[in-house]
Amino acid sequence: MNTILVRQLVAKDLSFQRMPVLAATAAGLLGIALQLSSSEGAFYVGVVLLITGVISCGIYLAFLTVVKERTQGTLPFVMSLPIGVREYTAAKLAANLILFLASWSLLGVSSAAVILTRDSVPDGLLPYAVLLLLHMLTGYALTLGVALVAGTEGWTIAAMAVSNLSFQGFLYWTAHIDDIAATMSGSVPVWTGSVRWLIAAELLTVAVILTVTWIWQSRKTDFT
Amino acid sequence: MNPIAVQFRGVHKRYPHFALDDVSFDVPTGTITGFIGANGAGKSTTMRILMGLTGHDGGTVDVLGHRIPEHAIAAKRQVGYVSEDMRLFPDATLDWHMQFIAKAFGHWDADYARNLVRRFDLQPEQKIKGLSHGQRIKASLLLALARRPGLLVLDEPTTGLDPVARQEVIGALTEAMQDEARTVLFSSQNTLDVEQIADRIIFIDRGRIVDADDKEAYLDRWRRIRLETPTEGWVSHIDGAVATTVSGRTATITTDRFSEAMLAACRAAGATVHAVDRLTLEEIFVAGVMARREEMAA
Repeated sequence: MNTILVRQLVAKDLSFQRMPVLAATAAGLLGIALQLSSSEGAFYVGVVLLITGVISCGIYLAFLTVVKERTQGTLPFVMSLPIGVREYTAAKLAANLILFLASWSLLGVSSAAVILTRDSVPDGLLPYAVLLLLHMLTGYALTLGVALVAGTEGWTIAAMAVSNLSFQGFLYWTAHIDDIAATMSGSVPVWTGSVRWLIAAELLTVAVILTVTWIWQSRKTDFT
Repeated sequence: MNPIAVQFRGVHKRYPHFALDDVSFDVPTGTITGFIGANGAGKSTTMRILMGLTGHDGGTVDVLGHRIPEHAIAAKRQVGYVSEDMRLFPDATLDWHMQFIAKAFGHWDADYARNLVRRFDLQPEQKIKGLSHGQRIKASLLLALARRPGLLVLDEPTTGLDPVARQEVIGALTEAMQDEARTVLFSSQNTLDVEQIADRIIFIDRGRIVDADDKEAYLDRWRRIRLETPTEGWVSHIDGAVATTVSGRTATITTDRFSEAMLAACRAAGATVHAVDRLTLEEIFVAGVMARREEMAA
């Protein structure tokens, strides 16, 4: 594999997409700042803004780095370089994961800090927040995988819609799982069996999506 | 050095509404080969197969001695590719692209690049989104040429260009060919461009190679013969007629197998030859395509 060129393509995406990622991260950080307010209304607005920041960061990335490269015709330029589909896929996955995980980690750690430091927010909410953040990571991996494999706006929007709808369902469903519901408002975080099982399932799903994307891409013969 | 830069043998590619069928041709090293065909004839598909961007269903493709698609990466190191539908990154400058390509390929002729920037009247610090279509094509061509690749593959490089930009592009191609080891394969619907700079010609129509030859030899064997026939219906006896129009005893025959012997045979059979005209590449292209389509419809 031409790792020099892969690094160059990753650097290109990091450079081109830093502003949208910074904007989405800034929206998330603004949401976290609002969560520090004593107003309950501001707290909920902050939560919504944080979720919006994380999700929109993923959507921006999948669209700008993959779909737009096809629609604006820059993919033939990239594929005219001495690379194959494996190098292209490796560069796209690496650039996307670096950018998304940087923003996601920052917002995740900041959220954890708010939960653990703010008296009016129970520390027991932390496992639930981790589950939601991991679900957003899963949704992003699905959107990115579909964008890479299908390469069309239609399929990517469909994947994005599935991810976002499933987030609403996940939000409701996990809050009603007995051991999670029972410990969520407690003063200490409790990593119950359900939480641990769900974390493992979410991480496994991300790994499966990325692996399937890699295998599917590697079998492709048409790139334009 | 490999005497054949590009070799297609029995290449097939099937889409739901189009197929490349048994495509075979050679592009000799050091030639400028014009690849001519109407819209949808299969030029771009052939070019994409050559670049390894599209897989083929059967047959073999070799580019600079590398089998495609297995060794497309090695081939692409020595190939400069510019396509009419290929875009550079709109938010980056031409200078950024030059640095990007120089780093990606590891070899870059900076003096030649500066020369092309001046010649094409481009501004390196200008963002690509601020360039006209003609400037974008010239920028893409600059990026391909300044690497001094062994093979230039240009898919409709002059489409949509104004006459001045077209001449600049053609001039740069002609100059690039001063290095005799360099090979150019360029597709076009514009037969004038091909006639101006190509020394070999490949015709493609509806996914099949119709003809491939040295340009001069090709132009030389096509003629339009105006003659008066001894009787009505006589022209049906003439071998090698691609197209024929008859009005009474006056006939106009277009042939792709012209020879003095053909004229002698006409005269010996009692026909009076009034004129023998050479055809332009455009006239040949139209006559060839129409004849083939009539033949297929019959």
